[in-house]
Amino acid sequence: MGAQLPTINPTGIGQAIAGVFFYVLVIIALFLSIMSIYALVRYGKSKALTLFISIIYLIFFFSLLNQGISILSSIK
Amino acid sequence: MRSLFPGQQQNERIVMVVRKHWFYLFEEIIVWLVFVVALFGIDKYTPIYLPSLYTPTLIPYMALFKNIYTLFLMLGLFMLWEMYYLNIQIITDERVVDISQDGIFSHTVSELSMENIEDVTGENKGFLGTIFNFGNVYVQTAAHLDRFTFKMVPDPEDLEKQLLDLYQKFVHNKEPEDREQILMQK
Repeated sequence: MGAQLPTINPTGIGQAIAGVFFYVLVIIALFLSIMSIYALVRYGKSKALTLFISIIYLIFFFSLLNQGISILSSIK
Repeated sequence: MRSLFPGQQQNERIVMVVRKHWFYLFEEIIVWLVFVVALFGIDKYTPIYLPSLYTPTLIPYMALFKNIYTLFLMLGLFMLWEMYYLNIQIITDERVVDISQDGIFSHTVSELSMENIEDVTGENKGFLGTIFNFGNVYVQTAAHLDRFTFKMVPDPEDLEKQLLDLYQKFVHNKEPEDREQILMQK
């Protein structure tokens, strides 16, 4: 009963270590990305350009993230 | 009228917005491309010179490394463009405003009133500066201690002329007693 957070179940020590490194680096990259987008939205002169560039960047970011998660799952 | 910078007055006219010459961004992107080429180099040459990294066990780790590397490459490119886009100088009929974004967490706004302008110097330096017509413009303040610098701006000679013209118009539009006071400070 109640929502459950998704769990990560590494199948081996290699996947566990790789997973930790991967997610730590992703969190750092995500933090820097959010801060960059915030600075762009706050100080940028053209909101339309800001929005366009941010959306393009986030599409690339989450595509790469998705690919990384797939690669991580394939590690035995 | 939408304000371009904090403190912009209602009747203040924006004369021009200056960004660094495109060559500055080009130079930064060339450096970024070195890292891109490094990634392609790793992909092409490590299977030849380090075949032990391409065993079936290690291939996913290499793929993960390249994925994270690409992620940070994209972040780097985004931040490069952002730093170029957010660093501007705004010239109005009353002052010069320098907006500097030196990093994600560093945003500085400096202003120089037209009446404090003492001297303006524009320079084209070097082979590339001459070919692509970019350079620096130095605005000396009345304090003679420091100067406002526009780095790597397009057509520095034209910018210098425009700043001097604006200064002349600014002084000319003042009341005679104010005009005298400004000129006596020189």
